[in-house]
Amino acid sequence: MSFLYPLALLGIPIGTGILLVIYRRVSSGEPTEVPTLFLLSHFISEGGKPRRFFPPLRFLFELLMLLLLSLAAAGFSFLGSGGRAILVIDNRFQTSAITRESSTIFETVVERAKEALRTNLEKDSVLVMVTTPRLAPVTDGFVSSASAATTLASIKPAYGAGEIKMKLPSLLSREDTDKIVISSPSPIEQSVTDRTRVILLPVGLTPLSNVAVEKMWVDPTKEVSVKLRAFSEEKISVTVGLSLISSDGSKRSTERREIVVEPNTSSTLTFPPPSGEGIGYFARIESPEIGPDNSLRADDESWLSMGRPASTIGVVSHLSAKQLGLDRVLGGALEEISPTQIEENPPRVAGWIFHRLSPQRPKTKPSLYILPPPDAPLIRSTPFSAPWSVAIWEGASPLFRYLSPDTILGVGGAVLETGGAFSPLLRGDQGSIIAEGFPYGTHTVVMGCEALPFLGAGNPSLSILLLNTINHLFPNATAGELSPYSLLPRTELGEKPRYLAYSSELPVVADPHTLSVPGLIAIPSMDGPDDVRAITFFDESESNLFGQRAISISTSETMISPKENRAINSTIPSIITILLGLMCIDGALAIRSRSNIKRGRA
Amino acid sequence: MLPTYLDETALRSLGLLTLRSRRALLGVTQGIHVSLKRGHGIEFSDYRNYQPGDNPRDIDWNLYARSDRMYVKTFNEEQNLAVYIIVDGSRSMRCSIGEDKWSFAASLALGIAYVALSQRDEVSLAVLGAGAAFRIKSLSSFRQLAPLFSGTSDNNPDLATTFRAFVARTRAPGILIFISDFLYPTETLEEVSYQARSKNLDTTFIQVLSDFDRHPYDYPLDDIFDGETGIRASLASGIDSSDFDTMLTSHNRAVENVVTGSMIRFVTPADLTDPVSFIGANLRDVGLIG
Repeated sequence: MSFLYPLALLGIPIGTGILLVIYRRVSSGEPTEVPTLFLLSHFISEGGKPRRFFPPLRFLFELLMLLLLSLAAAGFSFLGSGGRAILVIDNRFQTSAITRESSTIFETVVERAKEALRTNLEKDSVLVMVTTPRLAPVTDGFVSSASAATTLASIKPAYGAGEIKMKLPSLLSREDTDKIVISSPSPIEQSVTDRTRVILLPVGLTPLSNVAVEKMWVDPTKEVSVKLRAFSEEKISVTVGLSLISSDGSKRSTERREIVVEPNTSSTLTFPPPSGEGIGYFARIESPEIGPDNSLRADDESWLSMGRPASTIGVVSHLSAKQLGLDRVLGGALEEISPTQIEENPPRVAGWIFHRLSPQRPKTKPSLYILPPPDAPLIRSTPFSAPWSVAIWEGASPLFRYLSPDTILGVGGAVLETGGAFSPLLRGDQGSIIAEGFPYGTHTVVMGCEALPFLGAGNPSLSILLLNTINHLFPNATAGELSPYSLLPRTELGEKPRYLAYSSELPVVADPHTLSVPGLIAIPSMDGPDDVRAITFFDESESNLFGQRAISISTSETMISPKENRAINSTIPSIITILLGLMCIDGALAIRSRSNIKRGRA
Repeated sequence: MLPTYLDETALRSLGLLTLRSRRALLGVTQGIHVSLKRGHGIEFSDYRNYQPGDNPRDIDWNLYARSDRMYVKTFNEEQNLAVYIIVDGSRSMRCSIGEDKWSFAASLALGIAYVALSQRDEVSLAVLGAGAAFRIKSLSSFRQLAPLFSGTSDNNPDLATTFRAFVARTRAPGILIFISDFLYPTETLEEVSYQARSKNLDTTFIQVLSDFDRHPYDYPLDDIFDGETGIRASLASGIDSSDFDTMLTSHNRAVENVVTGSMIRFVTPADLTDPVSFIGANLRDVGLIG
């Protein structure tokens, strides 16, 4: 038995007292006039004796109503005899890494959680949540610790980023819980907040070596390149296999190559063009086996589609790609296009990046405009230099992942003049600075700030913004990050894509609602055969098991309105139902009493 | 304004009833009751010796032929009656807990007055404790009686004194109807009865008891106070129903003994729902209504 707001229970003694006073005053406070005491004098009690209170039936009903009302307000629940706790299981794909004890990190995470359920949370009502692919409950509300332990068996690692820090604010703002227990391999910096006690379970990991496929692309010579990266102290020798994917989804191995990857560097392996027809490629690190040198299997594979030259992004600028730093971002996936060529003989590319230029006609492929000129025919911008403040910040946009308004605030740029097809993602007090839209059905992002050249750590905020934008607009341009279904270009989501091929060997679970499993998918096309796209996976921060980033919980975490996160107590509807029934009975008694008075009875 | 019981239909039915005295009384003016006054009535009374001056047409010639003496016939005159209606107007009658005794008593008094006025009797109506009394002789003035019952009364009137004062002002013998709950000591009742008998009044006592008077144990009362005396008391220990029933029966029996010993009619309505039916049925049974 537990209560969400125990203070509301004070309503029981207070309300009972008030009810008693009212009833005593009504029933006995004012004496009733009787015709005469002539015969009644024999039955009169002696003075000074305290009067007994004979509560009428209606008083008992109203007392019961008061009790139920207070219980409902207090958030009464039968579950557990202690408090309410949220048990968060960190199930990001990184936890599927094999430790030196030949178990996965996830197994350790679950084991710690089970221990907590047996000890700390034994008497609590527990809500079990997973972090990946999104923070979501896996139990049906708060359950007993025994039920929660049973639920743990059904949880598996899932694809998705492991930034648990990004997901903590919504947890910390919940008012229906006393403590939050996080079972995660990430260390935590501060474990106390204003309202909620946060307990981090000690998973106790040691740094693990890992080797991952960082990127895969097809060169103009039709050779297939696979870029590998080692996260270790020593070099790692691996064997990489390349497979050609047939249109029916079957894989045909073409060749295996060996390579030695130096620690904390990248090495590229090039395969000759495979013979035969196919719709894509699948590369996998086949050696060494999962173990001390390669503790994470989930990042050992990569997919590449041949259905479209997805890796080719047309860059239109007066500067070269090297000057823009885009070769560091897109690698072999970019194609430099001169401003004159764009109008006369535009090549077939998967997307466009226009730097300080704008085409005469809109493009039909996803496009990124950086600082379009003031006299551009399609999208204009007006430079400004005065300091500006943030008016609109669409924090949920994937463009602003890892960013905050403060990091962007200092940049100069231009105010955009866009049509109604655009919606501002970042708007200053002088106008829109970053906007996104679908003019003519083409996914387009316009930046009024100078994000180029790409300087990496030299200009981290704009670099992250640019990377986010490129990943968002051109998901296959880099062999980059997992692209959830909801982040795919909306113009291509007329019908749900279907998987042509995916790896079923990985120890992860797929979310059926998102394209969260690496593989080849077919996207229905409006004017031709299905478009084949590769969803592959790479995130350096996740593959790097050498350095663990601490989770920082500060008392100034952004709080979400408690109303949004208040759990619905399953007991309350039952209490309210009984309460309504009692109110009906009470009403009937009141009507009956009134009619008795009308008839002259007391 | 007349009580709701006395609508036009009720008054029409009451107009068909007659109020009767158990004995001939001396009236004031001509009426329908046989009076003690000898005169030119239609009811033979007696013979007396002829005296000079008597009307020769009153001589009974047949008797003169048989007895050779001259006798004249005497007749009782038909006169009206004085009807005195007294209503106990104390707080005990006006207390409405249980049932509205006062409304019933007012309807009863006004209904009897209507019957009396319909037969051209003279009606004097008094509400003890309110200091209100009214005497009317004509049915056309009947509605002037109703306001007597809308006034207030003293909290604790001395019933015997006020009753005696009213009776002392009666000018002629007649019919006295006293309406009360009679929930007071029998000594008071004995004095009242004595007053009525001393004035040679044909008296009827009507006892009006509410449901609370009969069954107070059915009412969940704790703190109470007597409206007449203002005494506050507690019934926290409850009322034993059998004890109370016994006490009430005993009291009513004592009341009956007092009044019947004084040749006074005593009648109690079973309930307070229909005063008109009570007048037509119960008062007929006791001989007050003919």
